[in-house]
Amino acid sequence: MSALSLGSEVPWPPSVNDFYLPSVVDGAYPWLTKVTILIWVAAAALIVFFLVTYRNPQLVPTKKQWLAESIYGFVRNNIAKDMIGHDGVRFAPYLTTLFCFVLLTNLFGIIPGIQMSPNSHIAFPTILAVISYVLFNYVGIRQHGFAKYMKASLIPPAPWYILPLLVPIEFASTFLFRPFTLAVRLFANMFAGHMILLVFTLGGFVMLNSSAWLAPVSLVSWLMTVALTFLEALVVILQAYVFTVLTASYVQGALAEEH
Amino acid sequence: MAIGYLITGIAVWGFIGWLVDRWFDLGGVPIGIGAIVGAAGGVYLIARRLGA
Amino acid sequence: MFVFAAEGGEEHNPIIPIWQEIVIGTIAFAILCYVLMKFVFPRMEQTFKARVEAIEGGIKRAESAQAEANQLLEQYKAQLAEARTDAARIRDDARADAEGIRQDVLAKAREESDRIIAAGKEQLAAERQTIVRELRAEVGTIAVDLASKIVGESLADEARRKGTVERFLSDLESAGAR
Repeated sequence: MSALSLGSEVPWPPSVNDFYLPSVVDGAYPWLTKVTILIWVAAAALIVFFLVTYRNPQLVPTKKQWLAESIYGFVRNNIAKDMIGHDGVRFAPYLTTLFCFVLLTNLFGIIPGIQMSPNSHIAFPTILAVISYVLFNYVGIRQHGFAKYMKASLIPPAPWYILPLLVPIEFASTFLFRPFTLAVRLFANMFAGHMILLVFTLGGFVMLNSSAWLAPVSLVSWLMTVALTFLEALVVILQAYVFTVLTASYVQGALAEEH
Repeated sequence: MAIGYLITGIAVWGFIGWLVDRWFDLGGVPIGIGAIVGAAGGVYLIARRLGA
Repeated sequence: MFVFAAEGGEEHNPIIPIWQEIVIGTIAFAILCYVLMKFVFPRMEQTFKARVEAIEGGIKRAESAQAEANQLLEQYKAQLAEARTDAARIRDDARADAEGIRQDVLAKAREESDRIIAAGKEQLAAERQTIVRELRAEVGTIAVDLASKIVGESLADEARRKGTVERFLSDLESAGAR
């Protein structure tokens, strides 16, 4: 981050542009930036982790195998089965992949030395939200057929004369706002989290630079950064969980007879 | 989810009200009406889908 | 409009995705999904299932062993009960046999004694009969002789004499039998 240029001009106040770091290699922007590299790292790390831990599965699991299994078991039993029901096991592999990916990319936001979550670029939450959107609509249409699915999704149990009022709300809520809120919720949390950390970190440097008397205050500012990083850890896990749970809940809604 | 319906209701019918306002130039009145209607619809939906 | 944004310099709208990032994210996530959903999680399901089966198999095995033990126990019990009833029956049989033998012996003895008694009686009766017959003949002769001596020749007629004596004797007999 630019804050590392100690003593020199500290970019203040932090702006949106702080999120758009330059290309690692000249002229490769934005194909090869910190966030795209982090995306590759995340995917590779997860693949390696699961392949290594599950290369030779045993009935009585080793410690590593147990770790991998408990991640999958958590999403499978506590999200897929709880939200969707027994049928949910079908979706457990995708939901677990989703959960792990979001969690790891979120964690990049608070891991020292990386401290940049790809999910603070809306492109990545958008991809995941679109997949969730396609998934739950596909599942619903396959389960009920297009007409019946649309009817179940759009027409609430209400007298006919209120329907014109309700159908647009149902349509917007199911087909427009769902993917939007899904993507924006994750993006905004990561964006705001990074922004807050930037404010306190850079703020400390700004105060230190402006006057030596403010040094203790900048120390407080940095301590705040540390504290907020722990808060971010909570947010990071919560957001990964929420994203997965909401996806599961949408799938459940699409599968159910009536919403 | 519950709040979602309320906000969606207000947003959708507020938007429709805004469109009407743009066409007929009624000084923003339809936006307010739309928002209220949408809020009512949202509350109704919450009651029907999530309540009973 | 930010699609070809140059290094850093321009203002970015954070709400508008950069399409290159979408491409990269999609590819990376697709690869991740492919590998994990194809090679990892199905195997985990398999392991889970195998584990459940192993546990259930263990339970089933224990149950079958238990059932077998129970069956064996039942069998032993049945055998024991059978042996017991056999013993009782043999005892009963023996008792019955002994009784039968005793009865046989008794019956034979009684028969024997009866036979001896009957033989004695018979002999007695026969002897009596013989004596009676001899007596009868003798008494007749003596009576006739006596009567002829007394009456003389008048009763010499053979036929009439025989009939009279016979009648007299049978009268005598029937009187004696009474």
